[in-house]
Parts: sequence; C-alpha cells; structure tokens
Amino acid sequence: MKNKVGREIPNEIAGRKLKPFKGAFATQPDRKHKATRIKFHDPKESKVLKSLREAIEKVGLKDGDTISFHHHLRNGDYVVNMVLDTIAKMGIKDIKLAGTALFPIHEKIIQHIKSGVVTRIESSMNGPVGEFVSQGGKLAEPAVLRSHGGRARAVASGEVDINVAFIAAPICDDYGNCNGRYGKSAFGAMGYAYTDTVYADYTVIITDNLQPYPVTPPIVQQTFVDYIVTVDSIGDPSGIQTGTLRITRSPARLKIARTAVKVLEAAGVLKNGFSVQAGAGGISLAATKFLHEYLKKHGIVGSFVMGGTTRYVVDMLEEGTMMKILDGQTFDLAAIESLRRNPMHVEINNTFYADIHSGGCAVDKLDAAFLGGTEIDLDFNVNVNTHSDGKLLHGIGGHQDVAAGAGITMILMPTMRGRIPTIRREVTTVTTPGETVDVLVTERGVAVNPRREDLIEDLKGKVPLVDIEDLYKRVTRFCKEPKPPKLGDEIVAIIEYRDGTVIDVVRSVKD
Amino acid sequence: MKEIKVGTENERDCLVILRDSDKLEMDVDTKVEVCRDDILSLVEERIRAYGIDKIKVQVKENGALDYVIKARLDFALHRFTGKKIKEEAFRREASSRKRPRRSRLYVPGNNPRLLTNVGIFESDCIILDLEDSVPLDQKDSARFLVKEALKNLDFGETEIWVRINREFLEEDLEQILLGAPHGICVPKSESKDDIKEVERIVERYEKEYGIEEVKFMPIVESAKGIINLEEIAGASERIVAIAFGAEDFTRDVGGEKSWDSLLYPRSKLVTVAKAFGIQALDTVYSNVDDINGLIEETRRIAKMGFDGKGAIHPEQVRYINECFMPSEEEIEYAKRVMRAIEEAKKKGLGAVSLDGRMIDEPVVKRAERILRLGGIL
Repeated sequence: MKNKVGREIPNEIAGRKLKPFKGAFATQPDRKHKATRIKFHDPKESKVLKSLREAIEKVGLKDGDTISFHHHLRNGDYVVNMVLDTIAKMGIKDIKLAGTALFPIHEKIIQHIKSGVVTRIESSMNGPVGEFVSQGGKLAEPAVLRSHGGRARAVASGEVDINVAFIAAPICDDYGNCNGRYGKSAFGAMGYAYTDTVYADYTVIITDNLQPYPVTPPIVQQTFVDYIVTVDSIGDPSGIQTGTLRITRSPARLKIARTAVKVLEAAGVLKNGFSVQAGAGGISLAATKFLHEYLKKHGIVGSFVMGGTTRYVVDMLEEGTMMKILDGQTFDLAAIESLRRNPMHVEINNTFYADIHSGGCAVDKLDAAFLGGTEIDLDFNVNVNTHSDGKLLHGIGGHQDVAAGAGITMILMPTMRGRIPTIRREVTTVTTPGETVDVLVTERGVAVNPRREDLIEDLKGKVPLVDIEDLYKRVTRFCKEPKPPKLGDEIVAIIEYRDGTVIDVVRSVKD
Repeated sequence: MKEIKVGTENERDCLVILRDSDKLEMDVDTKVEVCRDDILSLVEERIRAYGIDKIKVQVKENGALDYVIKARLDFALHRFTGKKIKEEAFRREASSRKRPRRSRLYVPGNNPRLLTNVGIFESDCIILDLEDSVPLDQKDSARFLVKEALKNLDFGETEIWVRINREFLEEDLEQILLGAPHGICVPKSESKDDIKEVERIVERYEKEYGIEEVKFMPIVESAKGIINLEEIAGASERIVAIAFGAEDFTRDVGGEKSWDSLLYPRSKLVTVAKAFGIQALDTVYSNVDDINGLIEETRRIAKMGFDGKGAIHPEQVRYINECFMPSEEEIEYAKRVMRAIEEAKKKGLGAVSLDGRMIDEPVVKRAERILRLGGIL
C-alpha cells in the first residue's frame, strides 16, 4: 500500500504488520506502556560486579534477547564493542542490537553480524555498519530506524522490548546513580539513556569512575539499576567530541546561515521569549552563531535553545540572549562545563524532548528550528538517512520530531553536493514528511512550503524567495539529476515515523 | 606514445588523460556510482564531436559538474587532435551602461570549486579572471573552463566580465566570446591603441558569433596609464567604467601602498571618468581578514565619487555593497527632490527650490543615483 507521502509500504514484513504513515498527527496511541519487571535488591549484597561476563551471567542474557546502549560517547565509545565481544565469547547468539546510534568506531559489529551474534538491529547507523547492512542479506529482519522521540516511544510501549540496557557512565556510585558530567570520559547530558533504564528488564552500568555514594545529580537512578561493572576506560575523549563541530568556512554555506536568520527576522518571530532548535552541522552552527549576534544586537532575550549543545549555544546563555538551554546531547568541553555549573543549563531525556505519545514534549514549544538533510523533494519531504546512491549512512536524530514540533522548520542545505543536486523530483528515502517542513534555505534563494501562505506573505521583499520547482530547474540545468540507484528487492531497513507508522523502507543496494 | 593530461584531482575538478590506442577505451573514476553512465555518455559525445574513434580516455572526477568535465575533455581533445570544432555561441542580453557596479568579485578562471558558486554572493559584477590569478601553464585550459562556465552556470542578475591577458588577446577572446560575457576587462591599459586593438578583435568575433555588444572596462594600473587616462576613456563607446589597479601601479612607480600615495591616481581617475560620463571603480582591497579596513577605504572612495570597488573574497562583497548604500536620510532627501521636480513640472515652473536651496541638474542627478543605489528607482 502507498502511505501519505506516496511511498510503497508492504503490509507485513518479517511477521510484523506495518502501519502506513497517515499524517504527522494522525495516528493515536492504541496501547498501554510496557509493564516493567518489578526489581528487588538485597541491601546486604553488592551491585558492583567484577566483570562484564559476571553481569551478563547474572542478568541471564540468552539467545534471541534484545540489548541496548546510548550513544553519548559517539565515535569514542568503547562499550558497545566491549559488550558484544564478551557476548560473542560467551557463545550467546541471535542478539537484537537496539541502541540509540552506531558510529564508525563500531565497525567491528560487522564481524558479529557475520558470525550470527547480532542478527537484528534497531538503531541509527552512521557509517560502515549502515553501508554493510545496505548490501542486503546481512540481517535476519530489516533494521528499524527511529527518531529520538520515536525510539523513546517504542521503548516505553514495548515495541522495542529491551532485556538488558548497558549504560556507559563516566561517574557512578555503588548503587548505580550516575550522570555524564564528571570523570575522564565525561560527555555531558545523558538523556538518551534514561528511557532505556526505566523500561529495560535489567540495567547494567559500565563505568571507569566509581565514586562514593551518592553521585549527584542522579540522571540515571539507582531504582532502575541492577548491576555495576567497572572497567579501565569507557571511551576515547578525542572521539567523544566529534570533529564535525566546526563552523563552516565556505562562503556559500555562511550565506545560507545568514539567510536563515533573515528569514526568522522577516517572519517576525525574533522577539523576547523566542525559542529555537540549534543543530550541530556546520551550517546550523553558523546560523546559531549569527542568530546569537542578531539577538544580542537588538537586545532580545529568548526563552530557550535546544538541540546538540555546543559552545555557540553556551554563548547564548552566558551572554544573555537565551534564558535556558534544554540539553539532550552535549558536544564539546565548554558545553559540558556549562552543564556542570549553570542551573539554567538543563538536561532532558528523549521522552521529555520528543515523544509524541506523551503528555507533551519540548519540541512542541519551539518557535523555529535549523535542520539539515541529504535531499529534499518538491513537496518538501526530506531525506536524512540515505545518500543518492541508496546507501544507508545516517540516523534520524531528532529530525522528524523537531520538524513536527517547531513553528518554523527550516532546512538549511546547499543546492549541490559535489556533482549531485540536493533538490530532487523524488528523494531516495523519505525521513521527514513535507507537511512538517516550512522553509528550505539555500545559497540560491529561499523556498517556502506553499502550505505556509502566511510565511510567504511575511517574507515577500525581505528575503530572496524562489519557487522550489523553479530552483530545482535552475540548478539541474547545470547540475544534472543522477539516475536513481539500482536497488534490489530486499528491504534492508524500515524508516519509522515518530508515531510508530512507517514512512519509508530502504532497499538493498546492488553493486 | 602521445599522452595529454588536463585538469586536476582537486575538489570539484576532474583530471582527463588521453592516450593513443587502437580502439576506443573509456575509463571513468567517480565517487558517485550513480553518475557513471552520465559521465560516460558525455565523454563519448565529446570524442565523437572531435571525430575520433580510437583513443584511450581516462577521467578521474572529484565532484566535478558536467561543464567542468566538458571543459577539461574539450581542451584535452583539442590538444590531442589539434582541431578546433565549430560551436554555437551562448545568447546573453547586452548589459546597460548605467547599471550599478558597486562590487565586482574576482574569481580565478582555473578553479572550478570557486567558479561554480561565484554568482550567489550578490556582487553587482563578477570578473572571471584569466590574468593574474591563473599561472602561465594553465592559461590555455582556463580559457576553456571560463567559456563553459559562461555557457552553463546560473549567474542570476549579476553582470559577468572576463579579465583577459594582454599577451593572449586573440586566443582568449576567440574562446571566451563564445560564452558571450557582458564585458571584457582590459588590464594594463596604457593608451588608446591598447583599447582599439582589443576592440578590433572583439568586433570580428561579435560578428562571427552573432553575440550582443560587449562592454569594456579598462584597468589602469601604471604611471603611463594614469597620464593617458583621457585618451583611454575616450577610446571606445564600449567603455562603461574604468578601474584602478593599485598593486601594479604601486610597483610601477616604486612606491608603497597607502592612502596618500594613491591619492593622485585615484583623484585623476575619478575626475576623468566622470568627465567622460563613465563609472569610476576603485582597486581591490587585498587584506581579506581586515573588514574594518575595507569598510573605511570603501567609504572614503565612495565620498570621492567612485562608483564601486573590487573584491577578492565573497565575504567582502556585502560590506562593499553596504558602503555604497545611501543612508535613510539621503534617500528621504532624494525622494523630496524628485517630488519637488514633479510638482514644479505640473505647475510649469522653470526654477525649483527645496528648503530654500536651488535644485539644479547635478542635484537631480545625484538624487537619481541615490534612489537607484537604494533600489528605489
């Protein structure tokens, strides 16, 4: 059947009935949250175990189980590989890997897939694992990709039924209270781990820094923790702070960032109380910096800034252009330091941040958002998962959630990447539906979703407005649209929308 | 064995290698597999265009657009065969004399990465450079690249110029006029004859290619050029602006670049240009990191009567444009001048005054210029 964004979705796949995407707010929840295991801890016994192996034995991990991780250690993470290696040595097989995201450092997983230790993945995949899975024939079931909010929702509902959550922590006490702020492997906010610890049957903390009770603030709480394992190191600090966080130097990209701020100015939203989602991509970082300069110059104080937290976001708080930071992921040392000492820098978890099946989430309160993407079509549907060659290379992050929540969702994107145009008749994969996207900002003009007549009226004469189809034609005149990639029939991944419906599927790439 | 290498493997560029062969061999190395077939058909089309059926072609592209690959292929094939193939000239409307030329952005004609986006920075003019920014051994291939850029890229509303080499007038013009630029910058202009020489060649190709009239911008950058400004300015009807080149001028007179040392050539240039009813354009500001210096110098030359300034980096453009933007008070006053003139016309009055001051022809002209710069007229 075809879903609301015109993508062909099978009715059923690997025994799972698929619900087609019907619209950003069209699908209501139809179940209760997962009932969780009632825990019991004998205070005379110690939660701190000698080895990972002992922990895995104690929680009774077996063939076919689901395990989860959080990705705050990003490309510096040692824990995923450490746990999978141990599981493999113990002879456990057929594991479903349901972490928040995988990075190039996790390339080793490919070996565990080949040997049958890992047979299913429900996680974002950035880089080599995604590329491997794209080839087809690798997993027992298609991978499932979810947004931050969508994953928190699925973990709570039990659609992702986690048996054991392995949680990396740079500081932890002997009862399992931990946070991400202190220690040699500090990474800042720990919000991606929270929902997992609440709903998993068992939670095992892996730490390289055991400290006396109580560790505060207890972001992950003792009430949900079963065991604690100490190791030499949970990660490589140089990989924790990813190298992507540099403001772009490209004049064309700087122009996009400046134009994005002009769009907000023209739309009349830059006034006291304004709130924004700042991205961590090069263009979004620049836009965040220019926005800060604008607010400062005009004496405007916003209410909150959310998203990947960087020193540019911290500047807003410290120089008074924003009242608060809501932080789900902390990217650099300046931001970690700010989280430690500034009470206005507030850590949030993914349910609070973005879960549509909740009493309300923070994305709904955003006036505007800077987002990116790999491709966009003439209906403003955005691809963030695959490249034009069909390879699955990126996770969804908060893209769907923020787009649905923010008052003005802006996609900041150059019209070309190398010899490939980014505006397409048809995108390789639909990640985020066009009905939730308002403005495309490029180096060659600003295209507003025709649905937003009000915005078009506000922006007229103030920013260089273009019709998205005209822009497409102008660019593809000298930057030809490539042929669609040759794809196989096998579905290698399901792209879920944040409400659990299916917005698209990814098919195998033929070489 | 004959081997021809053209282009580079730099970002957005492509390297073409041609070798003798007893059959047709095409080898495309691309990072984007989905583009391979498109690139192969482009290669085949160009080989056929040059009438070859036996050759080994190797293309290594690094995110190069089709116009870059075509330019590299054509130049390689031209060298391989010694042939010139007939091609259609691009159609572009002629430019107007009076349009604003506040900012002109120079871009090296041998750099595809910079060429592709040069049209997006809201400069009034773009200057695709074949001269100082292109090393001698790349002059030939840059000509082909600039021609294809002119034919294929989207420059929006910007006026497009090419700065040619005085040493290669014939070769440069033969190629780049196929791309029908709005105008030609004539560097190192020192006399009437320098302009006339270029004009003769341009006239010939204009006729042959059937393109619209090409405008001229002499660049004066020597002591002799400054002395001969009057004859240069009057040398051709095609001249719409004269630009000053401070770097070469300073070298020529053996001085040091400063506001004081350049005051004479600037003053003379602006005076002569205005006497001939053409625009006076100032030299580039070469320290890209010093935005405050750029703003200060641009404000000063604007007050002298200059109409524009050169930029060597896109980030300089918006500051230059802003310096030439009239202030709100100036725009308001200009509007009142125009209203007063209209009312006087209605009433049939000859002499007009505003706030007790006579409004004469120069005041009206200035008001018109301000409104044009402010985007109102």
